Amino acid sequence: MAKRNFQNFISGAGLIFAVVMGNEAFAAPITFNSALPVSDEEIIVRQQIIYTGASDDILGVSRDVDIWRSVTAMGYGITEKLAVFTIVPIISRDVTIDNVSTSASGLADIQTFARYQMYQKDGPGRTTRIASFAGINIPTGQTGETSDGSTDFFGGLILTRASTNWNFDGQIQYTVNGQKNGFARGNEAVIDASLQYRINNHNGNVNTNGYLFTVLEASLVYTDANEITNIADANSGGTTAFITPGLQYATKRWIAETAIKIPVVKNLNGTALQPGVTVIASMRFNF
Amino acid sequence: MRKILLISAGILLLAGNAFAKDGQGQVQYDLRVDGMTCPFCAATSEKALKKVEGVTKVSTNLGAATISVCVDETTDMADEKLGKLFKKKGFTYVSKTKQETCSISDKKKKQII
Repeated sequence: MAKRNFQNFISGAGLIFAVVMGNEAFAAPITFNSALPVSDEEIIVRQQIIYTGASDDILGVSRDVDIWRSVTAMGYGITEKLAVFTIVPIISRDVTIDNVSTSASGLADIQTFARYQMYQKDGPGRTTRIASFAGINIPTGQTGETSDGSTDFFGGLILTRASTNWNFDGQIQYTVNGQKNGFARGNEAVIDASLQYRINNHNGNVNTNGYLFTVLEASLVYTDANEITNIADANSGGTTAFITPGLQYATKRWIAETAIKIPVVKNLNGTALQPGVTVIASMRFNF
Repeated sequence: MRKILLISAGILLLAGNAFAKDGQGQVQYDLRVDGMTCPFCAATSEKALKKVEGVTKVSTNLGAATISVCVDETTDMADEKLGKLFKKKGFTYVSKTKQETCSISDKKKKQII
């Protein structure tokens, strides 16, 4: 039961992937990706601490889930258009159902993907980019504990329109989830949007302290029902939506950011555990 | 007295030579580079320019989409070379203007406008 609830929980929004994928080292989305470049032979590292809490009471049974994640993401520019990324999450989670608690921690599934810039139009202090990405979710976590054990594939498109004062990013992503031990998480479609608006130094004054952005993000997630031995689980899948306000401070060598991801639509099927609030704090470094 | 005059003249010559090395023989190029929108973009571009032999100072003005570079007079700053350099970093080199003297501040913190 605990295992199933955990699987339902993480399948609801592709939450881990969505949150950790934003790994550019620019004023960029906090919860997903950007089409801005990782320059040729440049290395970017992002370290995130993420907390998610969710709870409900279904048919008199109370459920509480707490998940802490430490997520390290690394990006490397192979060329000015092609970059590769690896994301290493370490998870600690506690699930309490009717006062019975279980917990698990350790390495979760490592993700790796490539991103290719398909379109670039630059102007003075502004740029428009479109990039595609594709990757794989490698089941490095412990099956039933920090992973569902399946190998998953994902891909999508990103649009970025950036200037020195504001950025807009949009992303569509589809994930095909694999099967392990008769269990297959439902496939997932996600649409994301992010607006970052610079709130300091608007008058062109000399700035040696970096740029401060307010960030507002939104995402819509549709998930198919999970399958257990090829039979759809009626208590899984559905639609969720989130808004994520945040702050981001960008300097020449590092970026600090924080955000809170709030579910605004919680329409998962049956008794699936509805998503909770996620708090994100992270740092990015450009080497 | 003669010795003192000779020593003084020598010191002046040395100082003049040192001054020439610092200020003279250096020119400044203001490079127009499109597509840079953030401090990280400036850092990446500056890092690439600093690897070019003869480059002594670099400063970015994001608002004006320019990177100013002080270089030895003999440094190759051909458009083709700069175009390739910035393309590799993901940005678009547009043009350059040459100043006969270097006016970039020595401050360690480069100014980003």
